Amino acid sequence: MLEDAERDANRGDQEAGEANNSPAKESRPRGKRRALASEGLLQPVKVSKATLYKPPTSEELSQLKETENLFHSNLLRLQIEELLKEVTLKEKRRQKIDAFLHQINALLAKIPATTETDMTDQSWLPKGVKVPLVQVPFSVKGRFHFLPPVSVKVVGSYLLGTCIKPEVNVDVALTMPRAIFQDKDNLNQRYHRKRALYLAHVAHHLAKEPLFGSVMFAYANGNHLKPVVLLQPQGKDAKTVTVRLYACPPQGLFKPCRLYPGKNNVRTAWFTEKGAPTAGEAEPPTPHYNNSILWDLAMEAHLQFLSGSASDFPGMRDGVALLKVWLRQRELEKGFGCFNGFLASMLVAYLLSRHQINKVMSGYQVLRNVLQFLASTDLTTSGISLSKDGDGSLPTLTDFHRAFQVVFVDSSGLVNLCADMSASKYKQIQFEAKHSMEVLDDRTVDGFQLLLITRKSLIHAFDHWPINAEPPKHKDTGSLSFGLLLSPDFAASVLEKGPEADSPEAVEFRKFWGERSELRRFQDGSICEAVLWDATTQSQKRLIPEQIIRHLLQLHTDIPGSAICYTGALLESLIRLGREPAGTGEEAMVDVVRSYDDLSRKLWNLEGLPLTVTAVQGAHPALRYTDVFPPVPVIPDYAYYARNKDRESLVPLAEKPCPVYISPMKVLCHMEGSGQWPQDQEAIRRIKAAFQIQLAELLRRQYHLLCRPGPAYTDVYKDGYVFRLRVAYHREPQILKEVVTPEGMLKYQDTEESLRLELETLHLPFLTSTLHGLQQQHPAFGSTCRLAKRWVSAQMLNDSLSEECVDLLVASLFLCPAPYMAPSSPQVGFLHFLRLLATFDWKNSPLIVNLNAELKVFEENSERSSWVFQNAWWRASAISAQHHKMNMVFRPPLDLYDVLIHLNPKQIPRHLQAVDRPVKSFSRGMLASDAAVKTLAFPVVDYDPVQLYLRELQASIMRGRMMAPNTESLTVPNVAAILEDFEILGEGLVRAVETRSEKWSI
Amino acid sequence: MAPSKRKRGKGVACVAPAGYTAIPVKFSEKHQSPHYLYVKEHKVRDETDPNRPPNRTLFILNVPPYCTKECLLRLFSSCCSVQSVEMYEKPRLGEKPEAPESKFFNTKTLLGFKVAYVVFKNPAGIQAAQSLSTKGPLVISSVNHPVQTGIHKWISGYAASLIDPAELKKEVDAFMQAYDQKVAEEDANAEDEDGVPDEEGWVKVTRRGRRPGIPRTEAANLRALEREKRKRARKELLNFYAWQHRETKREHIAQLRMKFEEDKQKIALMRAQRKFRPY
Repeated sequence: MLEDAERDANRGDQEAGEANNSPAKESRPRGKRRALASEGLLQPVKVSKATLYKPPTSEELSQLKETENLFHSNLLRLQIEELLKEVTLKEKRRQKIDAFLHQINALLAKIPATTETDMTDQSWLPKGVKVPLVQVPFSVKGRFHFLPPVSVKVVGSYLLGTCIKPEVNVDVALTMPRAIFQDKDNLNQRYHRKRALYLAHVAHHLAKEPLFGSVMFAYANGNHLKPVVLLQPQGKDAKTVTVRLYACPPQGLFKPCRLYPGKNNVRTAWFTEKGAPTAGEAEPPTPHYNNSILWDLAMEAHLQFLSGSASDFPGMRDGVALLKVWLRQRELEKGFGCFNGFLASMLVAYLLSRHQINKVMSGYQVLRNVLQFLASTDLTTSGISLSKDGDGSLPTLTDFHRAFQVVFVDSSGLVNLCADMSASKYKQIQFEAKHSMEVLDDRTVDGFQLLLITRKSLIHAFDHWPINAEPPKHKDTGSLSFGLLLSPDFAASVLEKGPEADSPEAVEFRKFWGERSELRRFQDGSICEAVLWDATTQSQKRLIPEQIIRHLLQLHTDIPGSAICYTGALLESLIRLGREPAGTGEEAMVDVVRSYDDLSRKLWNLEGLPLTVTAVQGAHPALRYTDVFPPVPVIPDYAYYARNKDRESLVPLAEKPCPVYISPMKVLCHMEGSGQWPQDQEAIRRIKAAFQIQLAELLRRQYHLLCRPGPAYTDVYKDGYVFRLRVAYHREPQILKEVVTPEGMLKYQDTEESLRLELETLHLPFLTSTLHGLQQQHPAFGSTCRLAKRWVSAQMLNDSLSEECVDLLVASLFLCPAPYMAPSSPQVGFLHFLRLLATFDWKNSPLIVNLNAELKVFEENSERSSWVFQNAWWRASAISAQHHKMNMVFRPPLDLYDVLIHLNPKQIPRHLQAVDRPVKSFSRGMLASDAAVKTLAFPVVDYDPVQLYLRELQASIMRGRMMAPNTESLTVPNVAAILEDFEILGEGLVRAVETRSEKWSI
Repeated sequence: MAPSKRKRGKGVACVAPAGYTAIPVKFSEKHQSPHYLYVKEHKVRDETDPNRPPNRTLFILNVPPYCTKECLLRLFSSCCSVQSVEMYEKPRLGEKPEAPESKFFNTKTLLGFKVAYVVFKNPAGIQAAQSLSTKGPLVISSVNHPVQTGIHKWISGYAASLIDPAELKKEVDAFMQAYDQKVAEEDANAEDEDGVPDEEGWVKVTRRGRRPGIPRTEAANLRALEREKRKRARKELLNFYAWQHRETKREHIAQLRMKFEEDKQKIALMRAQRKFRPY
């Protein structure tokens, strides 16, 4: 009965006592910790020398040693302990649950018996309750009457101590008395009907009791033959526990040999309602049906077996709890054919019996071993059994394999514990286990966080229903959602090449693909079946899986296209270029890179430079495929501009709309080192200018490119793009750092200028070339970056989160995607980006982006990130909750602001890049891309009134408040004048200044 | 704009910081809310800059973004003729500018509110300027002297950024010539000093040529120290005496404990942030 529970509770008492002792010992440091926690930042630990060097006790030594042997590290041990503390039941709750169970026990004994009736005569059932089983066909032989249960036992995880929060379920098995069964009740659902009627009666009586907050039915593990009753306490205790009532047959009710997987227990004639069976025709076996009866019979035996395994084995309790958390994070423990906690315990017991686990192992080691086992063993082909060999009459594993997809036989040798599991489900579990093992073995990542704390989900299933409702049928599940894990190597390929035309496989191939399959001749001369999908741009290629799914579902299952909703490309519109279907910019960037490559070749081959060019490096986002709006070729229309003849340049006109924005692409041109370089920063600057003039001259003379030299850079107009060439000398940052100490020693010290120069000439080009490489490995990388940047600017965070920073963050998603796979579409990548922002612990741990797999920290970024993200994370977390309304998320939130400045679209060169693209905008002085015009005057470059205005505003508002630091009264700004300034500074650009606030809290 | 606000704006502005006089100034006639220039006589204890003579220099705070040097010159010329106007981001001592003046290099456009130093030809100018506070607001952009802002300003800024390469080349050449000359002079000086004792009798010896010896830099110094340390460590015997052995063990345990304490702190912090709630 309930003694077990009590005993367990006593044990818990002792534990609680111990647990109470230990914190008392360290009550002082605890207080300190709390103070720390309130600050939320790590401080250096201060330990006195005396405590640090005092002689160790043997206890302490063994603990230190244990940590080394049984866990990866100290931190992991502590983390796991904390996690377990978080999920295990508190003593107080256990007591409540125990009291509840006792009350249930008492109530169950008092349920009155009923008179015997035919099973089909269910008129005795009161109105308020329905039979929790789909009774099709309805007519069945046999008589039923209710008698109180012979015994009530707590089974399962609650007794084993592996029951974990938050969904605390206690399984209670009611043994139905033998008297309500007749012969042959194993046939034709008679047992299941009786079981359902039994539970219906129980539920009806319990529902009347004030003890319960709710009484409901549910299917055990989603199995429609197996209803259970769910009980929850009244009032605010409702969440503390759910008691699940199982009804089981008394021991030895059915002969096991009748229920072997090869036997039939549901007669065809009865099920199809088609009269008498034709003699001699063999009935088909009903293994799943048989298994469901056997399972009920073995319930108690399973409990005994598990508690035998768990005795003297604290690691098992922890290990199973960890496994359950792991399963739950991946949502593998829910629904029909799931891998639930019971199965996890059985697996641990199996490994123990095979000596793959021993009783001194820690919970972490148990978890590791189970994952290892799952990853390496394929239960779909080589099943396992807990039963000791000996009885030759029992069915063999081969018999089980014939009947079930996944095989894990229990200790009795009769029940397949994985009967409901499908092979694909097992494959999914195996995939997760493999992936998790990789994470655990990788020392550079925080395995704990990824495996046990990070959630990975996609599934839904119905849970329970009120007792007066009809039991749900399979078709009530609602719409099905499928998640696809695409392999980046094949997902976007336009051609599916099949077998050779005359091979036997060709028939199958043709049958599978239907009309889409056609014969094609390939370059190597072979003629093969092939399927060709029409997609020209990268964005269309990303949708090939959709085409395939729609085609195949239509062809094979007759599901019309209108019934399918493919959500893989919801965000594409945000990075789409131009009005016509021009794709999402990937092609535009390829063109840019091609033009850049050509330019760098030309620079290499320049003749007549006094020093040679040692390297040409790009440092523009378009050159690493991460520019939100990549540059497009521009041919200026002279009519829109004023022309400065001396300088061969165009100048914008105030009365015309602002000309198209041309973003200059920075290209660094490293010149060879030489003794001729001066060693003074001013002089170096002059020499660089001289080089830039010369580069322009030579490019013009040798390649007829339009160039415009300047002191800091030379602009080159090529193929409609503008490249901004900058000469670099590798020792310049060093020279900027030189400081001579008073003792005459030369010292190198970072200065603002040297850091800026290093960023421009070293880090950015390195970043650009590395990310360019990353894009080649992960085609979704660039577009993910672009979506992320779009979002960051839409949230108006781009001031604190630089473009490079976002690139690196996204790169980290692709470099260490665990526990997920590297995203293969921009949309998924973007969701991962939001998740990273929302969940990463920016305060205490640096995010290390391991570029090129060398453990090299991009230090400035990891440090910078820690403070930048604090204001980003809450928006991300707020938003990831509602990310189904995609465009919404990209619309800047405006209601927070006191003043809105409305701009004149005529003067906004990037008007068409708005999230909600305007229907029409102004003509911006550019000719069609194929216009046959030779451009002789340099177009207007890098002229964006909005940016210029913003810069002026920032400068005047930021500094306007901070004048005279000693005079406090000045810090109160002159609001009226500042509002007028908004209009004065942006004359011609600002249309109106809207003030939305009357109260200025400054 | 609600009238109450405007009143508040004015009320605040009248209270000039101690020692300063507030002079109202507005962009053009049609604007209503003035900014205030805070002016006082420039007085610094050790002012030696000849460009900021005492008694004649006026220090101005809170110069609005659109107010240029020419504007100030024009506005204050009404009091007394002005000798020079300097304008900076922040108040600064009258040091010499670090870099030589150049049309192309080290140019910085001033944005936002600025400070200015106005030098009058006559000390009376200071008094006259301070008396402006009682008159109506000064007007920065008038019909006769319009000041460009917004689109017009940006376009002329763009036009001005188009430079003449020939002119740039000329400046670069001139600078480099002067620089080469300077370097040559320094070299010649160094050669002259070579081997000649200074007044205390020290002789400076410099090695030249392909291998000039170890440079006197901090990095080189550190490297040398590091090398010495390594050498010493190689010679030392470890775990030779029993006490050394004990010591190492003790150190090891102390290290483990330290690590344990650090980890505990980390965990405590994570617990406080509810990092262990798996769902």
